[in-house]
Amino acid sequence: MKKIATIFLAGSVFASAFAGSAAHAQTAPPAQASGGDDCTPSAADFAALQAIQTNPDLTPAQELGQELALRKQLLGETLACAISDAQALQQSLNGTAMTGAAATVQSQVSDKLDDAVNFYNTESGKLADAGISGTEAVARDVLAWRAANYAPLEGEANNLILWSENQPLFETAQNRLTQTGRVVDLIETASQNNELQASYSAAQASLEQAGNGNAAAFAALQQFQAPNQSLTLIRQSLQTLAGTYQKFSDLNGLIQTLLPAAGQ
Amino acid sequence: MNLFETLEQLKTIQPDPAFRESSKRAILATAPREPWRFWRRAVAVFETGAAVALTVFFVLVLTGQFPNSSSPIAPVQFSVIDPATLRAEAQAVDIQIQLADVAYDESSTAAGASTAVAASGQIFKPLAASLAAASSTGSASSSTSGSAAAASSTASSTPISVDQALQQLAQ
Repeated sequence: MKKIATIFLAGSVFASAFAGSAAHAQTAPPAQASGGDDCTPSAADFAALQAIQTNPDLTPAQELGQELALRKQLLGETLACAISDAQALQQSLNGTAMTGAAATVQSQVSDKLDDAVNFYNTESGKLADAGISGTEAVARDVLAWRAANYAPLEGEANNLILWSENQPLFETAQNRLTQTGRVVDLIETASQNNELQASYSAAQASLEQAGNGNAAAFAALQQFQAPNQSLTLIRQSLQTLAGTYQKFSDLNGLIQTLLPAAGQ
Repeated sequence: MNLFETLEQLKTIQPDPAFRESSKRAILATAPREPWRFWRRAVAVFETGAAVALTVFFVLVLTGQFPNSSSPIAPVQFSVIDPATLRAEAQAVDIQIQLADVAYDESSTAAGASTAVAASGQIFKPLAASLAAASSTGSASSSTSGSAAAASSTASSTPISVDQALQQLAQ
């Protein structure tokens, strides 16, 4: 459906440019910056604006009037898209189960997303009485605000969700270490094995390191550090955890050579 | 007096009324030994509870179903060295690493694109140029204009970000 509308719109714009008729620009269907359900603006939405600006047959007054109306419409729809994005992110964030300190950070980020929606609504309200330069100023303000505030907030929210989804992996690994420790102790009661003990200690140290990285990532999230910084820490903790599993694998192999029947 | 007569007399023997009264009063005056019965009951309850607790404990020991497997009295679980379980857990970590990598790439790309848009500020100029080119070509040949329109419609349906839209509207 979207494709059909886009083709129709592009065809209208093309016909308008080809025939040089102002009437086509006026009767062209309104551009949908929301781009349908997924709320994605497309280049086609702005082609009509270019068509008005490059149409030599329009009088200055016609061009001004059409351009202002279209700019208001496109900016309004773009802001609606931004609101939709922020609300979808907030919904995703609030839908992630978190406890303790993480829940506190979750609540703080959610409140900031509320602030973002309020900001967009305030800026939308400015469009009613704005001229062309006014709409340009609103677009510039929102663009600058997004770069300074929303982009880091979006990164923080996404990273917090990612970090939260990692926690069961760390808990599973810790449980594995505990259980494997029991097996190692059982074997050690029968006969001392230095290689087994060393392998277990290596896995234990690796998991501890991964846990420290995980804690550092959360500290970065708590302090609202730059998203790339917290994301880098999250990735590092996961890489270390993957290394821990390599050590678990080595340890498992060793245990199975000592307890061939137990691993069957 | 023969024996039978003596026995006949014993049938009619009666206690002394005064002694009977005093004995009855003494018996009734003795308090029942309630505390003793209470303690016996308490001990019985304790014994039953201990027996039930021991039974549950041994059942758990036999089945290995302790609520917290990290408890010091929990039995050793050899399932932990099952290679399939280990592999599944490692794969879950790998998937999460891939998700983190995708998030990292996306954030890097978004930052790069934002910088590029801010630097050029002319993302729709090529589109306008292609429209103008299509216009001039279309006057020469309708079939060419048809393909150009299709090409431009494909190009113009390319999704853009909110920031790119705002960038376009800011100028």
